[in-house]
Amino acid sequence: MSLVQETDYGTKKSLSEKMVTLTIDGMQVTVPEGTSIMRAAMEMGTAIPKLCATDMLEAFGSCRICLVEIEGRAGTPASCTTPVAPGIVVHTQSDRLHRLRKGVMELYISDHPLDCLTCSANGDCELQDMAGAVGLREVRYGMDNLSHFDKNSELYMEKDESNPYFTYEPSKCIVCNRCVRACEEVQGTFALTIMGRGFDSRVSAGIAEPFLESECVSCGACVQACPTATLNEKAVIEIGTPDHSVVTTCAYCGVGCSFKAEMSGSKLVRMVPWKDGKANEGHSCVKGRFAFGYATHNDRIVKPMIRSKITDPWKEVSWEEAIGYAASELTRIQQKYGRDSVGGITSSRCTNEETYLVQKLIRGGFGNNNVDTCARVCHSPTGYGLSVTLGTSAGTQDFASVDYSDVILVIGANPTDGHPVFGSRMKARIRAGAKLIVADPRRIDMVKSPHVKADYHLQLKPGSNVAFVNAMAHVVVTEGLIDEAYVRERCDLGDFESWARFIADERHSPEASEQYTGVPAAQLREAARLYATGGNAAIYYGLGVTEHSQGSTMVMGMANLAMATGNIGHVGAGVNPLRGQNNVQGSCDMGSFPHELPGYRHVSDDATREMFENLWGRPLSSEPGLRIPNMLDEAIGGRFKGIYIQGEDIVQSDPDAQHVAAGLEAMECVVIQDLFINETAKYAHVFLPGSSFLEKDGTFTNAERRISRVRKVMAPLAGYADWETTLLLAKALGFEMEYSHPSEIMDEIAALTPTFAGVSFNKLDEIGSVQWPCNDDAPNGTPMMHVDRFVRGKGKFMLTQYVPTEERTSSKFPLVLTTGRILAHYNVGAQTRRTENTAWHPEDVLEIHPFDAEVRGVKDGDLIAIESRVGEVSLRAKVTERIQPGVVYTTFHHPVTGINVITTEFSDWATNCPEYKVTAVQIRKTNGPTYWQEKFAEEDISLTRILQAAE
Amino acid sequence: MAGDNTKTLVRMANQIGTFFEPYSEEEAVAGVQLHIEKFWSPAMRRDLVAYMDHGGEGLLPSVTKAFQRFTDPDDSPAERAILAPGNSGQMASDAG
Repeated sequence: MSLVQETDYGTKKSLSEKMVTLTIDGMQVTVPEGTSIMRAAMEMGTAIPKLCATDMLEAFGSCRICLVEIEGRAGTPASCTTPVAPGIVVHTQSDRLHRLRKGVMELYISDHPLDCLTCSANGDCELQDMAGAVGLREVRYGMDNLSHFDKNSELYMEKDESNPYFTYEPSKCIVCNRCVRACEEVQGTFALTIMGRGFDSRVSAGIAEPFLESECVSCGACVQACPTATLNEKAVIEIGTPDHSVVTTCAYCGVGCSFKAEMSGSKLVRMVPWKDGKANEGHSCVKGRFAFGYATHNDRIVKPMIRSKITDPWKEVSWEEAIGYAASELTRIQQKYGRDSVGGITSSRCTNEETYLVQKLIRGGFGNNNVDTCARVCHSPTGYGLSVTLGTSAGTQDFASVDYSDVILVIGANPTDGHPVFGSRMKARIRAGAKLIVADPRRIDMVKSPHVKADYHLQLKPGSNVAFVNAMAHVVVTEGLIDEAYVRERCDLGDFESWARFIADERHSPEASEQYTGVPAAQLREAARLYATGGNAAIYYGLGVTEHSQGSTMVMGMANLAMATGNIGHVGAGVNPLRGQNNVQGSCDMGSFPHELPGYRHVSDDATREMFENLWGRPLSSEPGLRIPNMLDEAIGGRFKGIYIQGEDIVQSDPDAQHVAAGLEAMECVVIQDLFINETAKYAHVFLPGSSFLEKDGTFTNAERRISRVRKVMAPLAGYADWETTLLLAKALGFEMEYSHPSEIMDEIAALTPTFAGVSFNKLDEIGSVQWPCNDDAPNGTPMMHVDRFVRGKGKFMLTQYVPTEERTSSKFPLVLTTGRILAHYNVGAQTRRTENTAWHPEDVLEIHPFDAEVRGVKDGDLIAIESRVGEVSLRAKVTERIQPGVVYTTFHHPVTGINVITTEFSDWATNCPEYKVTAVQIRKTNGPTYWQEKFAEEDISLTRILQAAE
Repeated sequence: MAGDNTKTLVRMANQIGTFFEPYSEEEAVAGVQLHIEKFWSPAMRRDLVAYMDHGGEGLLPSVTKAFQRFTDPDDSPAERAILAPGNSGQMASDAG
């Protein structure tokens, strides 16, 4: 293996279809119109020297190194900013150019320290390369002039090491502006600038602030863009430059970015976003780029452990003993309490292949369908709602589609925090002129941030989504904004007519809905008109839509709105869920739900079941199994006794945590497979060490249905990859499966699942990634769904009546709590809390409006107790106008906060997706942890002890 | 029967019934029935049927009617409840 090298073409690719032929250094080359001379030269293999140009950024033309000569034109134009023209004759080398370039380089180097041998960028420095390329041999000005690197100089600035992952060393800066432009163009944060003028110029985060305290979001785009050691990863400074790399897929959010994992031996030095990755196209966020330290954290459990009671300390045992114990316990339980008394949970963080194996083990080995996954608590309403209306349970577009949107409607999603790389893409489109409507109770960054401003922020009350979407549809129907031709051609007309009658009723008007939504009717009407008539209109949504008692209804309501306005099936439009976990789409695809086999086929379908039975050699149940909350209810009721949980922490992530814990406590055997002793493991009897995404081969499927390879870069710390552990358990349970590599598991998935028929590791290695459906009809996958017709045939309008949640505010609980995420952390924080990302977010805080804070005597930073009818926790208050009066907001990344102690058991009517977004609460000042938190602190020790092996 | 669980099942069933309220009675009853067949485990269905045998207090009419179809006298409740949703119709598409 060697380092995966990517060619830097210097400027962006032109999308023009018109071709232009020119001559460069005597060779003819044909490129699309609008291509720069620099890029045209690189395409034929000639690297024109450059410093300020890179193909992730717009050409800037400042470094004066990339000069060329064009016959018949005066002077020496910069090749990065000069586009090709038909028939021109370009020379990239001449005595004059050589002299000019050398002169410019000489000036650069006269203000650059000559410490190459001890510099962290040694061997990975474009300035060094260019000094070589232009033949610089001396600096006639000497090195003793006024400079930025001389420590005694008035211009010298200390190195900024405030960011935990990279340093800023001003003395090495050549002011090429690449970092500033990357922050603007790629990330869209505008945190960096150039301070000073002329020779004094220097890069600055904010107004001469340390990086950590500035607006910098630590996405790494500037570090990647920097041609010198000015912005450099601390890991590279510490370890040295990597020696080999492997392209793999990030294990954080549902964007599914491609990265080069750059290694030094078996050590991961850095993750560098891969330009050919179609989900991210060379961009990254602070989590994927830098927060991988958890994978080798000391807290990793690398030895299997067992115990007979959860109050016993853990005993480290061999793999054989742990697997044998788990298998004998699960078998004993089934013999004693019946076939349906056990089940399992697949992991949305594991690979498709691993998820497939766990559901196969449960269906074939346990002999029931008691399998579920974390999509239950996030996007199960998406699956249900979109499949009912459109016919598939996944997003309709690829991410690139947003580049063609004219109107973007963001509902209940926070892309800059939850899906940052896609958020950057969306911001770029808004800067280019697309209109933006944000429907969210909270003022998210998309509402207003540098160079992005929502045209409408509809600040609706939590729990009023369906009233809101119905009001939007009411405007469309009653103001004659329906795309009639589209509806007539593509949708079921009977359903449409009853829907149109239903929605036209006055009770759905913006004026009548205002009492529920709190959104001024006039504003909502304008927003609805914009969505319906503004061109390509796309809906992007998140858990603010799904995690409600009417989550599924809301998904249908959005599909109704999109169909009525003709906004599905073409580029720039669509209904797009921003999915939470790296492989939550995949875990759903792989048959993780209790009622359906891989490929979303109901277990009662005889033909499908027969196909699986034949290949697996086991009879399969035709009955739906239990969902996670039902498993827990039945455990408390005494019928459900054993569970196998791969990589999910339901005690922290699922609502009403004390109820979840009580369910697990009522079980006789809880088998956990995870990287760490998480909250759920406190209630476990068998702990099987998991493997990180760096330790195995497989695939992840992102929010745009894109299947990408995960590649092993280091050996599993505990000896086995997760798929191998499942095989061991299956074998011990008497259900032996034969696979020598995950590619064989994918082959089996492809053989059994029509939408995956064309997927194989070979194909993925060949074309990079593929979006399902991938089969004979679409051998290279399907970027956009429902192009000519809906997958279900005719689009189906559903009647979406607004039903207020049963969770109501009262005099006792007058505020509404809603929960969400923050950029630096991911889900339950098991990974990010074990990285330096805690520098940005060390604890969960409660956002509260100044009015609500004042009447309770709460000041910013006060410790407050928050109580609902099911529990109470305490955390610090952050007084902010981001949130509206009557609503409070927090995150759930830290187990000690235990915010899910207070969320309730209410859930979506169709899928039981919990109603995290609406909890009636009261708040008061307090001076210490609550009873639950004290119990947590005690159990954090008593339930996690590991017996030290006797020597 | 799983004690406390019944309260949850009643709420779940009523939530499903409430979604179908804007539809005609026949569509609503069929919608509830199909949903239960597709997504509830046999044990959950049996628990709710048992609850109905004890009066079924608090259940919406569409839910009661849907479950009465499960308890058709020709079949035992358990037998009927585990019948597969064969002709599942328009609400039969995937996921949940």
